[in-house]
Amino acid sequence: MDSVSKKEVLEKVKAKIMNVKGVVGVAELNKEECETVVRLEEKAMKNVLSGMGRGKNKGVKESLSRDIVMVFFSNIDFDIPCDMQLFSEGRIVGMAVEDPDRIKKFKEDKNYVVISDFFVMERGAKINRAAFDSGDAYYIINGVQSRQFSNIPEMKDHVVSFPSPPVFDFLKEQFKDRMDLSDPQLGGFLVGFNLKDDKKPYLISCGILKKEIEKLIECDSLDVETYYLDQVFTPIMTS
Amino acid sequence: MVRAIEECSKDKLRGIIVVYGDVCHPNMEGIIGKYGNVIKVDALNCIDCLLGGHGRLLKIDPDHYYFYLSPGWMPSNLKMDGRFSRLFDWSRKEAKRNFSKLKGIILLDSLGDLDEFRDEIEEFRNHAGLSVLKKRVVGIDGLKDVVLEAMKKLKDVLT
Repeated sequence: MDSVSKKEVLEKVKAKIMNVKGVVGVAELNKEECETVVRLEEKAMKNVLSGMGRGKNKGVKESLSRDIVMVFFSNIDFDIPCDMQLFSEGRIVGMAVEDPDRIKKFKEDKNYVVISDFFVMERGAKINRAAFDSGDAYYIINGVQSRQFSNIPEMKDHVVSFPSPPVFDFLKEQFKDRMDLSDPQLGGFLVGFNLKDDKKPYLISCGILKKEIEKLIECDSLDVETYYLDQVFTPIMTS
Repeated sequence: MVRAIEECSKDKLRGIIVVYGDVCHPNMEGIIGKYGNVIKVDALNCIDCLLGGHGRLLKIDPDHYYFYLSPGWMPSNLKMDGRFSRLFDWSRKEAKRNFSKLKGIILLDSLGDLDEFRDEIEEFRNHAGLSVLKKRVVGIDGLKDVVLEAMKKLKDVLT
């Protein structure tokens, strides 16, 4: 794709993102802005997340791994599920739950505690300052795929992520002169994606990771054409 | 590998990601280095790929004490692969001798289905004469990260 047509496609994508309910502004991030996001996000993850504890923002990392990264700002009408997990000693002991019926069931179950009507945690899980400090306990904030973005035909492999407050502040400051960001309930998200008409690369691998690679392709996390060497060379190998 | 790269290189517009480890072939760097349209994942081997690459395997097992059994390393898979089927041609005594420097097996659950491989794990355990020490749930995110990273590098190389 040449640069002119790519620019046109990106303008189309931006217009379609603006049409998503609740979105009030969208802009593409340049390389320097992406680098600043990485730096601020890494710094933020060393600190306590909104009074909760330390975490790893895998979603932001994943958004930034795509070819195109955009920030979009939203008002309260924008709806997106949160995918957050709490780990303790290598095990998931808490997670964000969207379904009100499941939340109700967890509230009735004495083995769980429900915090802020969306986060379910095992009762008695070893979650305290010392556990977070030692790295035994941490949050993982995953990126999500949103139905609204899946409907945009020019986009593929999209990941919407939830930047930390310092990144949000940076992005708001960066784009405040280009769009109206005065809403007191403003939200800010990153969406990383690849353009659909790119020619997908070949992936050459031996058969050992075949199942895992096929799974990634099946769940749209990887857009490649596979070439497994076990099928090609097995007949001519000698021991 | 060379044949595969040559074949895939016929389409000049498409790049090639090689999901192989640095230690999977003694001349891996030499093979890949000849081609401008090929990027290899930054990983030591397939187990390192599952852990996210960048030599993470060495951080958890610097002295190579453990055998990592992921779905791809199950006996039924290895027996179909010419490079690995010889492991099962060894007598039990030979296998035990060859695996004797290892402290045990660590199961790597990448797809959440290791329970289905109970018999195969047992077969491998008996053949190698090693105990299963623990199971580690790794998922496929590490593999995804290391492949996407290579794809990004490939894009930079091709543009």
